[in-house]
Amino acid sequence: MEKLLEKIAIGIMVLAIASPVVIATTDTATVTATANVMSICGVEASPDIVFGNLVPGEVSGTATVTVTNDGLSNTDSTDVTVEGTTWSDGSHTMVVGQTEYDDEVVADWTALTASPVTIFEGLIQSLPNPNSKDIDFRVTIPGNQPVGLYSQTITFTLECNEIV
Amino acid sequence: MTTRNSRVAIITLPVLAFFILFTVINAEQSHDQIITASTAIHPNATVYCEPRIVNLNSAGYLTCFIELEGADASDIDVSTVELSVKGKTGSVNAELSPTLIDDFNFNGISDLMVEFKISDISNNIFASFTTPAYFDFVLSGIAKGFDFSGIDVLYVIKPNAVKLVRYLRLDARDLGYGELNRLDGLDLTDHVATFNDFRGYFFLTSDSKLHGQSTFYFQGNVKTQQNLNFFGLKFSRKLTTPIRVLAFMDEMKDCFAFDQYVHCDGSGYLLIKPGKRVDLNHFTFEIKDGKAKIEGGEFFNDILSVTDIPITNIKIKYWT
Repeated sequence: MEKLLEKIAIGIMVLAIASPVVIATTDTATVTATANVMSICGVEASPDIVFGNLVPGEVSGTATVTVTNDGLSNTDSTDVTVEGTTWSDGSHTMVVGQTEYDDEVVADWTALTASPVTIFEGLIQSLPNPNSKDIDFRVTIPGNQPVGLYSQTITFTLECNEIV
Repeated sequence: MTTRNSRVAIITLPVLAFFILFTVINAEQSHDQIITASTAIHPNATVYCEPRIVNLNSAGYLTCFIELEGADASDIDVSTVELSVKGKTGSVNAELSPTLIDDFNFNGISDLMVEFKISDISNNIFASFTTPAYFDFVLSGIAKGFDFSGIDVLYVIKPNAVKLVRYLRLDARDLGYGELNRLDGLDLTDHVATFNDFRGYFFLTSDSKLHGQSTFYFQGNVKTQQNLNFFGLKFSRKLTTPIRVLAFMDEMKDCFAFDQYVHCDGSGYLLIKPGKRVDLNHFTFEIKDGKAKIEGGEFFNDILSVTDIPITNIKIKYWT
């Protein structure tokens, strides 16, 4: 029986060593484990959006951004969130929600927010890489918005779990 | 010792294995990618020009008003303002003087008034003019470092000289009184018109000199405020004050008629009773669609503006 248990223990140890894990044991049975997890997903979004010249009250044309999961291995439950900052020209501001996006899943345009909102829920999975999706953006300039060179940053966040 | 380690392993290794599997399966990662969105917001320009019919034979000016959204009219660099016409080559720069910033259309937003020599428009843009038609007049310029442009659609003609034009408002009490928008600084809120009249004529003599005169008469009541000081106590009260106004154009500089359209630029004066005489260095009227618009002031309508005065009788005689 003891030999059997020793073989099971050794087998699990081998499994643990085969995984990117280091296990140390002492005779006091204190166990320390370190997992070196490989990069399993990454996100690329491009290009930067240039809406060009607009006037107050005008709605821009559509700009398409491609979001790509360029991770190294298969993933699951991959969600992409998007958030933005307030538009600013250094002197004046324009609310973040003037920018709208259309992820081609929901038909209507959705106002961008300062807090992350999930788009492409579970859509980027089952690689092989690269796996990408397009998202359209547009901006509506409010009436009487002061003239200026305005910019905002848009952040895409990709959260994923590796398929094991 | 071996037995003891085996027992420890029996207890701890399943926990260790679960921990490893849990760590790997839930190897949640988060990656950010930031892009930049940018846009240049330029002023949105609304443009309105008079006369609405541009007579290329005119020795006068095309007066245009530029109203901006996103910037103020005072932000416009007048030296950058120019006029062009869609489908035509060439352009004309705005005259650097006179210019004026005022709320010419009474909508609460300041406008910039600029002028263009019609002779320049004729020579630079319509040198090959053949047929009267509507054209898109494009006014462009720079405000706060950002370019803008706006379009007004005007009818362009090159008519033969009209020898005699007469215009008359008949049955003045029954036709309505038009809109008295501005009168030498008076508060016209709740004003009441009881009578007005507009009539006049002009003709060309054989030596091409222009003669004629026009008069606008208004009678009604305006509200005025009277301030009282009674032993240190201050009061104010509104009074109904009867007024009579006579605007007289006695010098006609640039007048023409086309079909049932009449336009005239000149100068004159304004008599207000009670009040005083005020010179109108600029006095213009336009009859279009059976209604007259009269504007006068130092530069444009900064003293007098009346719109929508019904004109029932226009007689135009064409002699060649």
